Amino acid sequence: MSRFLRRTILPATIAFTLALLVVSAYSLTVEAQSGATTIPHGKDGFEKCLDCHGLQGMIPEPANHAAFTVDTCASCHSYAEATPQTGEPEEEADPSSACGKCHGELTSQYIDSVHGKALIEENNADVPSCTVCHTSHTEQDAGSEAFHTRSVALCMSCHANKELMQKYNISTNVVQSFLDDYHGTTYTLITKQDKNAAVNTAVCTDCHGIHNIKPVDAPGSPVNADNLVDTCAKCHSDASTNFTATWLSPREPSINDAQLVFSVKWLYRIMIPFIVFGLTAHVALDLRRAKGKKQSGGK
Amino acid sequence: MSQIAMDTEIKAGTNNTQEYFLRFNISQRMEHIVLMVTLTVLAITGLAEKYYTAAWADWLIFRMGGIQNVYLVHRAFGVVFVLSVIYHLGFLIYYLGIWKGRPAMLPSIKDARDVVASLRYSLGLRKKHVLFGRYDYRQKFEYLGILFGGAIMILTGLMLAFPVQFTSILPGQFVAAALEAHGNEALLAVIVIVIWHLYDVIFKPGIFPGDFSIFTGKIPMKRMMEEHALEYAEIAEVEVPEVEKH
Repeated sequence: MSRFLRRTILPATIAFTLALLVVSAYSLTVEAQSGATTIPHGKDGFEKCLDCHGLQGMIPEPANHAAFTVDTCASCHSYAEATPQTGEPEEEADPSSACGKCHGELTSQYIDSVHGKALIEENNADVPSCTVCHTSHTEQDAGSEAFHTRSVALCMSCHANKELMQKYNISTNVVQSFLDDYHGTTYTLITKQDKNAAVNTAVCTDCHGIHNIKPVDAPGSPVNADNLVDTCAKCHSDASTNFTATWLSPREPSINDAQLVFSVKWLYRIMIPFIVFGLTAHVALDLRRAKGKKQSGGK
Repeated sequence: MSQIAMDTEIKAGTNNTQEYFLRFNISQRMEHIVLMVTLTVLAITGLAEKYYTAAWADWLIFRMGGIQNVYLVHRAFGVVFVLSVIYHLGFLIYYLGIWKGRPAMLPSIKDARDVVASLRYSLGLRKKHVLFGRYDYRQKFEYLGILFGGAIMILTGLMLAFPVQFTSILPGQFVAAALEAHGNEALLAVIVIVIWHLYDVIFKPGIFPGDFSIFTGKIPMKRMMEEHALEYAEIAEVEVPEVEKH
């Protein structure tokens, strides 16, 4: 390599590449979800309840139930004095009376959401109540990164279920299109190695909300066209309203929607086979001629 | 750009003098090596991202330490590619503007005629092989393919790396279209290189095991007279062999 190249172009190339590597690495990190709190539902005092109830089933009731109750269990599970409880504890049907006693703000958000409305107004058993996502007796840190990562499987357990979604006219394509696009691809690849790894990409709840999920065209929904740019800006800080159109899913490009993407897609669908055919034919003819020459004792 | 250099080579049993043309100077040879390495890494990392569910891609991403590393390497080599393009453009400005060289890669009517003539020759309808100048139509096709394909890849690649910035002036759909174009153009480039370029320089009967003139810079006189007869005639100032009209 000439001296000139060694002294100018080469160091400049190295410096440029290093600079770009640093910038890329920084821009790929996203601030982790904040606000993790521990659940105040300690296990102290459980033992008395667990003596009889355990978590699997119950052995026959003691004569005077009241003497055995403990605040912790009783704050969610009501009990009748000295009479057996039958069936499921009633709190599960209406979370506001149990969970809402401490988590008032989030519960009222939930009641206002599409899931909450269906649960309370229609008594719909298909929607998730508090215990479906948070479970009841396990100590889960709902604010943790691991929970954030695993939440995708939670949403998918209903939203990727064709039979279930058909009842409400919700396309299961929403899940597949998420997985096909940037956020979903990155999510899939990171979680492949570690199911609980922190992901630096948006998952369902980051855009659709958690306790306040609304139908996508409702005015309060974070993914409503009017609110979308603010949602994107949570991570992409300088996003303009144009930026929201980079994300097509769950829509597919078609003649009526995202025509530019559609045309590019079809341009290549035609051009690539055409070129493959043309070049292969050219090579084949060339080989044919060479073989012919060989047979006739040529070059 | 071409010089005749005498090179004496002793072959087994006989004394042979092989004449060579210096077809590619050191700058061109370096450019090709950089291009080779850069495009190979870009293609592998890029296609692994596009087809990430495939077993080979899965293996590669794991070996590279995760998808974030693949992104980084892909973008880093993208930068190297951009720099090599800038270098090439600088070379062109110098070569065409200052040195006043001939733009040998520009396609012309002769190339269109050559395609037809080669076809007829391959089919046995033409007796003599076609006479080419410095670059035949195949080499021009490849070069222009990299030039325009490279331009598309760089532009769409930048749009994908900096979507927020681009969407401050362009509609968002352009980024979605860029994703489609970037991946497909890459496929096209890989296909052309594998089917055509590798055939031309490695597997073609008469060339096999390989044409190393792009690395050594030298092409043997015999091949020069066959494959670039018109250029040879001009440099050696000899008569062009009789040209069959079609």
